[in-house]
Amino acid sequence: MKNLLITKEIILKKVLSFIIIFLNIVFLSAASYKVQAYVDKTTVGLQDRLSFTVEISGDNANGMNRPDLPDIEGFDFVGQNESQSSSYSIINGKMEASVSFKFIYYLQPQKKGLFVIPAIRTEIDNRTYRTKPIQVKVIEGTTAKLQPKTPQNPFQSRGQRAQNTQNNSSNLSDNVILETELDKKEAFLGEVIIANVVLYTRYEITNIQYGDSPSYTDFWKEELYSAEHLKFEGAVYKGRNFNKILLNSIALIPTETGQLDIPRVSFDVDIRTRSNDFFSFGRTKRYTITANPKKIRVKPLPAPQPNDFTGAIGRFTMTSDLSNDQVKVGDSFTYTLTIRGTGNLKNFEPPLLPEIKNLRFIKPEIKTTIDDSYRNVSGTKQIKYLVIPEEKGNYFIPEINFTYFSPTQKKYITLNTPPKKVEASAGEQINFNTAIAKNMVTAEGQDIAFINTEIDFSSFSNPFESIYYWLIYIFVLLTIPVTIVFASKQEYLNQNKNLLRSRKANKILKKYLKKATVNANLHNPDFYVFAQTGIKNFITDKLDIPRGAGTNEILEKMKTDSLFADSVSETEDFLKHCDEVRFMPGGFSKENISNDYQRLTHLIKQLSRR
Amino acid sequence: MFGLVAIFAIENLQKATFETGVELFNDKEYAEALDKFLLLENEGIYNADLMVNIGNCYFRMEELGNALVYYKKALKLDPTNEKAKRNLRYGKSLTVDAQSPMENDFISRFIRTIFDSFSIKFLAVISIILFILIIAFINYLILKYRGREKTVQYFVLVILIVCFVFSFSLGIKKWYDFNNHFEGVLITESAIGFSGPGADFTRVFTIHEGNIFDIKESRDNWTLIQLNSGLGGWINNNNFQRVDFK
Repeated sequence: MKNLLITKEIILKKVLSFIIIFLNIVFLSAASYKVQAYVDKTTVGLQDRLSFTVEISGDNANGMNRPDLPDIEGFDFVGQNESQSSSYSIINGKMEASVSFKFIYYLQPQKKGLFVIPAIRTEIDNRTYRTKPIQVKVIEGTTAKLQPKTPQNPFQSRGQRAQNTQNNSSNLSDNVILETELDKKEAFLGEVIIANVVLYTRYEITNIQYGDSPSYTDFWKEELYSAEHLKFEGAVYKGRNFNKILLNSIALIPTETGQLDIPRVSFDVDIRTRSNDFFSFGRTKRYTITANPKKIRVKPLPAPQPNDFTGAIGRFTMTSDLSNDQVKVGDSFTYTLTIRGTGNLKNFEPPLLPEIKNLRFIKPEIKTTIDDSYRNVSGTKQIKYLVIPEEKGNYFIPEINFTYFSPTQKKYITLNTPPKKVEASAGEQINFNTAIAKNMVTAEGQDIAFINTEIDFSSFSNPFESIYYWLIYIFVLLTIPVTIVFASKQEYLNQNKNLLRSRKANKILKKYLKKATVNANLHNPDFYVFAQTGIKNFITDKLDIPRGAGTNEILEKMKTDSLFADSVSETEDFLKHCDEVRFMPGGFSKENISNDYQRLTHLIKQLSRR
Repeated sequence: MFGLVAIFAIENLQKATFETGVELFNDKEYAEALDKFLLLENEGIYNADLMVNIGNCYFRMEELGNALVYYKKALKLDPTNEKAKRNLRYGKSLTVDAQSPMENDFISRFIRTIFDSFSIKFLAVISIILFILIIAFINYLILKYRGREKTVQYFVLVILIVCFVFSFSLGIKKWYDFNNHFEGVLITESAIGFSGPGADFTRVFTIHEGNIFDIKESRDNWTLIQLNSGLGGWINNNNFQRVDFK
């Protein structure tokens, strides 16, 4: 019967292991285990019992064999227990299984003193795991009332917890520990040191407040992480099981060499104690926890330093990139240099491009990006140049060297990028103003102007007080009456011109008339010529029309003139008659001359009234 | 003939005196330089540049009041003299009393600027040139434009007349001011202004060396002055120097 049960159990175990193996094959690629050992207290009384736990956890922790407990000096093995817990979680759609076995050994101290529980060896999947040895102090009597709650197993020791009515600071320092953990024990000048401030607790902590922030005199400091939520995780610290929280993480870059103190940090923590009877609530009390001071040895960087070393320490890679290798003159392209890696990215000068003729570099844009990780200071430093070719041609951006110091290899390493070629073709003409802003001259002092070393010895004279000044005015003014007199006289002369002509006309008439009279007395036919010309000239002068005007024109003019209008027909008749006598054959007769002379004198009398 | 020679001789003498003065000034013998320059002034050479030199001598001798008197004199002769303007501005900044100009509104300052930017000589010359232009133009119109349309010509004439009236009246005003409006500069360390011509009147103000003010009237040994701020009071004649040429 009993055998059957055992067989059943074996079958069950086998089935279970099969399922777990199946799950393992399906969901997980590699098995990893964690083996740790811890005690419930590091100080134990002779009357007390110590529980020593070996915990094996992993994603495939099936069928663990109980590790063999070696003989432990100063303790008697009094009993054992074991428990198994598994948890499955789905994270980002991926299922993770975690199984943990706890093998608990109860040990009875035999005598006072300091004892060591040695490392426990266990073999899982042909791999050997070792736990850390734990130091335990055995004292007289009991430590029961000092026993805090064990966060890992809240139901384990109800009786003990009932005795735990108050926390006193003697066991506070055992159960709440603040530790500054450095990622290295010694560093080079300028190397990044990561300092994590970790709180280990076995109490229930409800609140944590930052105390005074210490000043890091010998370091350049940068905050990497600061806890925002109280999220604890289990951890073993100095052989005991604790709840652990990373409070903050800072990057320290030493600026001095030698043995440097890392200042102690302190936090105020609120610790809640459990109530011991049903009707009262737990109380919360505030304690200030201070971390132990730490020291770190900082070594100078080994000499000689390469010329192009600008202080970069860590592990880096460098790449260069060209946005465009065929551009037009005046257009821009970008040349980007990227340094990626872990180290003091923010604390060194990036390599710079040398000046290249006919390439204009706009002041580079330097951007440092730190990855959002508090484990180390890694990220990228990007140097972005905007480049404008000023003339066409082929340009080479030379290879760029970047030297950093590797603390792990303890030597300087130089990285370089290959040279890049850019082809610039002719573009639109652009004039570059190469003038740099000029210095503005500002006054440095003030004084009077210097004396005049040369003067003309002309004395001041007021023109208004000079008689000549006013005489000029009077003289100039006098030109107006002179002009007026001159102008009016001119006018008068213009008016008299016509009078003059008509006076002259009478003279002409008289002259021609005289000749006509002589010819008439001689009965000469020339009488008509002189009579006609004389009358014509007389009328043209009188009427102010050009001589030589035609007969018809003269007659037309006469009609418009009031004085000549009534004698137009008579004049016309006479002039016609003259033409007839002169040009018609046989028109001339001596008898008619005296008669025509009478007509002429009559006509002249009529015209001369004017 | 003899008279001409005499004039040349005097001119050479003046030139020598002036050059000696400049040399003495360069050697930092300011008091001696001052004597030379004052000699020229007393001979009747009223020249803005000479006044600036005298002012500079006083300035170097740390007689700020007298220095300002001579800068003022230079500006009275030639309101456009740059050195005099600069030195006066700088000298005024060193006086104990703040001396802001009386006119604070824009228009008054504008008029003051125009008034100060022409010298009396310049205005006289401009006036006479404009006058000749106007008369010549009128004569031209009488001779050539009798009985003809001449609107444009009248327009030009009116503009010329306006310019002439402006410059001529400004010149006359300057002439009047030159002879009738006087300023004074305090040359003693300080002086008290009283409400009447005498020390037994009420004290009105205290002014300090370098204060420039207008002179209103004089009675016996006392003079009524008006400060830039508009304050008026009587001060003793021994305390100040008139900006004037005797």
